[in-house]
Amino acid sequence: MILFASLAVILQWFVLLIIPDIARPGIFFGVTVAPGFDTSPEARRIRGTYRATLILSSLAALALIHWAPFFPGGRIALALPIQVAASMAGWIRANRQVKQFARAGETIRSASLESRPVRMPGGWLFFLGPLLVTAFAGVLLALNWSLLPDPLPVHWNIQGQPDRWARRTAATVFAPLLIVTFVNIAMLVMARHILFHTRQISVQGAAADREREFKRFNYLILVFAAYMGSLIGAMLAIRRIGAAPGIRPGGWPFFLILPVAIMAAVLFYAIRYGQGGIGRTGAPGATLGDLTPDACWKWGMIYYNPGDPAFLVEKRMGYGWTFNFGNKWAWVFLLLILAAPLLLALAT
Amino acid sequence: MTSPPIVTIDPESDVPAYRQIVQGIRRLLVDGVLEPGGRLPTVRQLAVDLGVHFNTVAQAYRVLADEGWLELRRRRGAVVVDRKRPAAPDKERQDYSLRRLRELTAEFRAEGMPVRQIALQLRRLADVIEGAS
Repeated sequence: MILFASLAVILQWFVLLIIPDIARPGIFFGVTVAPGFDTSPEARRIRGTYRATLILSSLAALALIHWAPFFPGGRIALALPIQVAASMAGWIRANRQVKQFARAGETIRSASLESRPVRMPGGWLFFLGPLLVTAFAGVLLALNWSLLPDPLPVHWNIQGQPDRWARRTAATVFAPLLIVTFVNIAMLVMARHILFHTRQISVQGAAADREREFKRFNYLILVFAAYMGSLIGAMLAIRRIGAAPGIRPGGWPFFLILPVAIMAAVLFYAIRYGQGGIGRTGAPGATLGDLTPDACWKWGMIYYNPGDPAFLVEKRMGYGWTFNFGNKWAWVFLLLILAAPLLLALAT
Repeated sequence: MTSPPIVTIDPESDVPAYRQIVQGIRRLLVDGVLEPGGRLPTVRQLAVDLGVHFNTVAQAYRVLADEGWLELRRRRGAVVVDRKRPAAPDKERQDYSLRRLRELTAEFRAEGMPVRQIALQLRRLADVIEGAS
């Protein structure tokens, strides 16, 4: 467990390290700057301070995991949030410093009048696959009801041992699958939205093509993540059939393969192509910045712009999309996602 | 690779955004860049791309539809029409036109024009329109 937590800290350090360098051209620590600013002495100094914060916070997290004089579970649980919090503080400091060098982004807005592609990669069957997997698991559970243990394990500790049981009822048996389905629907909705309805920032040239590829990749990653959730949820559910009440779900290494593979793919793509599929180096046809006003970003992390009809916008800190918190549908969507764990807790 | 047709707006301009969109698309239509049968993005999509309210794009599309350039399809964007064969207006628009015609005849009657003469003129007008079509 200590090894696993240490690896997580190192991975997180690496992710936080590359974040400022995968941004779109003209974005530095969440602020719109002049082209080439990121190689200036000021930018190097700001980036250096941020990196020093990362190193210190990561070393502190590792020290906490290995040598802190209190119980292991607690210190491991604390290490990652401490590392993230310290890194965020470093980012916010850098964001404030870069604001002194901010410049106005593109004011002229352009849009392509070409209608968007209407085909989803892999088609509808691939898209709906995660829901079919959980539906299949649900049918298997219903057909083998009498073989399910009673009481039923409903929660496992980090070592994979069941630590909570409940009476065998429809709620305790099917709730986990329903929650997985619910989360998957949210991910699939986002995947489709990214592919078809997010803003096309670069409208022509190689930059536009790369941006379309970027959306396609993010669509596939989200659908694969939904498959991962479905497969893990379905396997956990099915393995209860015919098992003793103290069943260990087992197979944890297998469950780790899928998220690690997805994470590796995202990291590879982010490093190779960068945010928006064009990254810092840019591409012919790329616009300066991301067409969102700096004034609507808090610390380069949170976007709030009621005047922007976009539901999702490209992140300025990191890779992918974030919500426009000025859009009421973003709040509705987030509340629905947060309702899922609550439903699970109530049902079991 | 050819460049896609592009519409551009300046949010800081004194010209309202919807009018800038109308002017941009009209220019592409007049130049033949957008050809009959071609589909434009949905209102939502163009609004998101330009960072303007949905109603702004909807208004621009309505203006172009009223001019006979576009046929609006609910949730499916707009289709460029051949202006030689303009699409039939929707029911709302037809009702509005008929109402205007009735109001006009009522106005003639209020001004004292004989009913028979109004009917005669309308019949003649109908003959001319049918003859032209």
